[in-house]
Amino acid sequence: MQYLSHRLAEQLPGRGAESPSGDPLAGTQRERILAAAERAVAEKGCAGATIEGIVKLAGVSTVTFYEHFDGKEECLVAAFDRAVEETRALLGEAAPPTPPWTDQVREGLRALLAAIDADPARARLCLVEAQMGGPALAARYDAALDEVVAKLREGRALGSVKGWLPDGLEQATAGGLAWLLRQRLELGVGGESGGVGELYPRMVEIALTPYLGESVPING
Amino acid sequence: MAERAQTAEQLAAGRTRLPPGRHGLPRDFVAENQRERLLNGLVEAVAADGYNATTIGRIAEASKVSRKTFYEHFEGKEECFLAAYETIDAHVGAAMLAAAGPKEPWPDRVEGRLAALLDFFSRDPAVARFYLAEPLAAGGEIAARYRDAMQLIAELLRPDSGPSGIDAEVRDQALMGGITTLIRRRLAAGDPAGLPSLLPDLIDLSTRGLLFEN
Repeated sequence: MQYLSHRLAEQLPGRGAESPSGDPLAGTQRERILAAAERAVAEKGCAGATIEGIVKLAGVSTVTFYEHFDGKEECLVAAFDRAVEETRALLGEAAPPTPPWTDQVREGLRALLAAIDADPARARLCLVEAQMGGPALAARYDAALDEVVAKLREGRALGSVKGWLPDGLEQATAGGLAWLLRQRLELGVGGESGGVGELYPRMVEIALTPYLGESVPING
Repeated sequence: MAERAQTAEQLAAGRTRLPPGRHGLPRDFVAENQRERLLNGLVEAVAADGYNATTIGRIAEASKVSRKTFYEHFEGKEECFLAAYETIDAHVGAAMLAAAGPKEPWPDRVEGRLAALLDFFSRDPAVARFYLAEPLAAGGEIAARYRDAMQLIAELLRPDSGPSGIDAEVRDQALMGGITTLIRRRLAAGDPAGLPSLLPDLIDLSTRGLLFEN
C-alpha cells in the first residue's frame, strides 16, 4: 500500500543523505528542524510556534530553515508527516502483518496508546494541534484518520452480528476514538489522571463491537 | 440569507443597522442591538477566515460598528466568540428539545432530536461550522466550552438507563466524536444541504449499540 505522504515526502528537497544539493548534512539538519518544530508546537501550539523559535531549538540558522521549507506551515506539515510515519512504523512492528484482523486492531491500538503515553508532545501535535494549524495541516490530519477508517472497514469482511452497518460507521468510529484521545491530551495526560493506556479496553470495544457484538474478548 | 432569520433569529436581529446620529432610542436598546450585530459579524468573519485568522477589525467591519464599540462590549475575540457560542448553544438545545420532549420514549426521541440538529445545521452552514468545527481549531477556553456543549447533546441522546460512571462518559464522548466527524466532513465537502441524509446513520450510531452496547 502506498501512502500519499510517503510519495510526497520523497519529493521534498534535502531528504536523506542523497539530497539534490549533495550536502550530507542536509538530511540531519532537516531532522533537527522537524524535531524542533515538534517541541515548539508542544510548548506553544501551532499559532504560537515561530520560525525564530524553531531554528533556535534546532540550532540552525534561519537561512538553513528556508533552504528546507518555504515557511512555518510547510515545516509543521512535514513535522506531522514525520510523526505519523514513525508512529505507523511502530504500529507495523507491534501489530501482526497477517490476519486475523481483530488481532491487528487490538495490537495496533495497544501500540498506539503506548506511543502516546511515551511521547505526549508528539501526540499533541498529531491529535490536537494538527486541527489548529490551518487547512494544509487539517487535510493531513483527515488523511491520517482515513487510514484508520480503511483499516477498520476491513472488519466488514467478518460479517456482523449487528446486521446492517451504516456507511459512515468507520468514519464515526475513527472520529470517536480520536476525539476521546484529543480530550485527554487537552486535559493533560499523565500525573493523577494516568495515561491514555487505561482507555485500551474501551477503545477495543468501540472498534470491534460493530462487527463482533457484545462478547468482544478485549485481550484476545 | 433569509434562511438565517428562521434558524437564528437573535443573530439575525443584528443585521439591521441603526441610522447614525441621534435616533431617540433608549441606550440599552442600542447597546443590545450593537451586541447582537457584533455576534453576527463574528460568525460571518469566522466563517470567511477561520477563528485564528479573524481580527477585531474584521469583526467590527462585518458588524458595521467601530472597533471602539467592539471593545465597549467585549474584552477581546475570545469573549465575543464565547458569547456567540452561548447563544447558538441555547438555540441548539432548545431546537432538539422542542422536536422531542422528555416524555417522548427512547429511542423515538433520539430521532426527533437528531433530525432537528441536522435541520438547523443544514440551513445555516456558517453557524454549523462555527459551532462544530472552529472550536477544534481554536483550543483553550473555547475548546473547553465545546466539550461542555457536546456533553449536553450526548445527554439529550442517552437512553433512560445505560452505562454509568466512566463508561457513560466514554460512551458519550465516542458517540459525539463520531457524530460530529460525520457532520464536519459533510460541511467540509461543501454539502450542507446533504446533512439531513446523515440522519439514518446517526440514529443507528446513537441507538443500536454499534460503538458500545446500550
